[in-house]
Amino acid sequence: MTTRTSFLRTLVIAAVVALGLIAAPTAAFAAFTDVERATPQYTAASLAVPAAANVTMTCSFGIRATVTVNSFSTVANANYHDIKIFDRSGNLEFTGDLSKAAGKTYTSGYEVIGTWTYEIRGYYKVPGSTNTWTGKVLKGSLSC
Amino acid sequence: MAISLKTTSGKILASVALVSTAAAVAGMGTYGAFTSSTSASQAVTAGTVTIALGTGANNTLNVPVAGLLPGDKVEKLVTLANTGNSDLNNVTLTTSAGATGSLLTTDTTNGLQLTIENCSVAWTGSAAPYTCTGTKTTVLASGPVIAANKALNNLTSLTSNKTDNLKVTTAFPTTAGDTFQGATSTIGFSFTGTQRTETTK
Repeated sequence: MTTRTSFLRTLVIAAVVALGLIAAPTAAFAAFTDVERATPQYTAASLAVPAAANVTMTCSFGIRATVTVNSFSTVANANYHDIKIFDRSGNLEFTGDLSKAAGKTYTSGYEVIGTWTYEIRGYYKVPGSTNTWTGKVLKGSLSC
Repeated sequence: MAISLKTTSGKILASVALVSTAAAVAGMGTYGAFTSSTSASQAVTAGTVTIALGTGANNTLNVPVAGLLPGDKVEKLVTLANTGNSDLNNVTLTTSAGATGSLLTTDTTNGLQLTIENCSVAWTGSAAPYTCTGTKTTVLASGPVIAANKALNNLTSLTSNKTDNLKVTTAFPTTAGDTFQGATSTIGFSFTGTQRTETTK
């Protein structure tokens, strides 16, 4: 028991000495410093839903449809907009580039028309890259 | 055993003690000397280590930036001055987003990349991109915006009373994907100036 106590005492003394040796150089190497700060905020863009769109559909005898995008609100930060038109079954009928006249009008083949839907959204196509940001979608339905 | 003055040895011992004491007192008088003293005082003042970022037009670093798109670069101007009376050993930069971390700061490849340049004269231009008509040097090479204790190079403000004209550029890589949309972080820039190496004076 005495040997054990003596050993522990020696261990504690050794630890205290070691800590002292570590702390002493720290104090010796203290240096004057000064810090200046700035805290700017950075936020990435997000592509919102187009605010509005005027899209109409006309039909010929209920078996042929023509969809026309008369107007739409462009999305901030988007450099490309398109419309996707889906038939009554949800199949994609047409994708149109809204920067071109041809992309704003679509005439279907002969088929049962019913109620169609459309989606308009903006994109940011990163110049010189294949990277594209896709915006939130504006949805609507069309019928004759 | 007590010393008795009634005995011969006691008397002899007492006499010796008396004579010795007298001799000691006399000796002190004998070895007295004229003395004079003077003093000099030297004021010792510690140097000051103080750095300062510019204010107003000399610091656009705090201006928030919104609407970043892949491929964008944001240039901010800030002066860094050594306003203390000591030269500096180095200036380091530590950036942190703290609890506001987002992909902008956690994605070290596609997130924001930081570069700092120094111009020997004030940067030219009222808006980015700013140009340097003097000598341009790289203070911090491009790297992820979040970093700790990055040593800043080519600073004249290591010398007391000197000022550097820094341009802090934050680039948003073209590879940043859709998931970055709307990401936001507030990034703390901490510039730390440390005293010059100690000297013997």
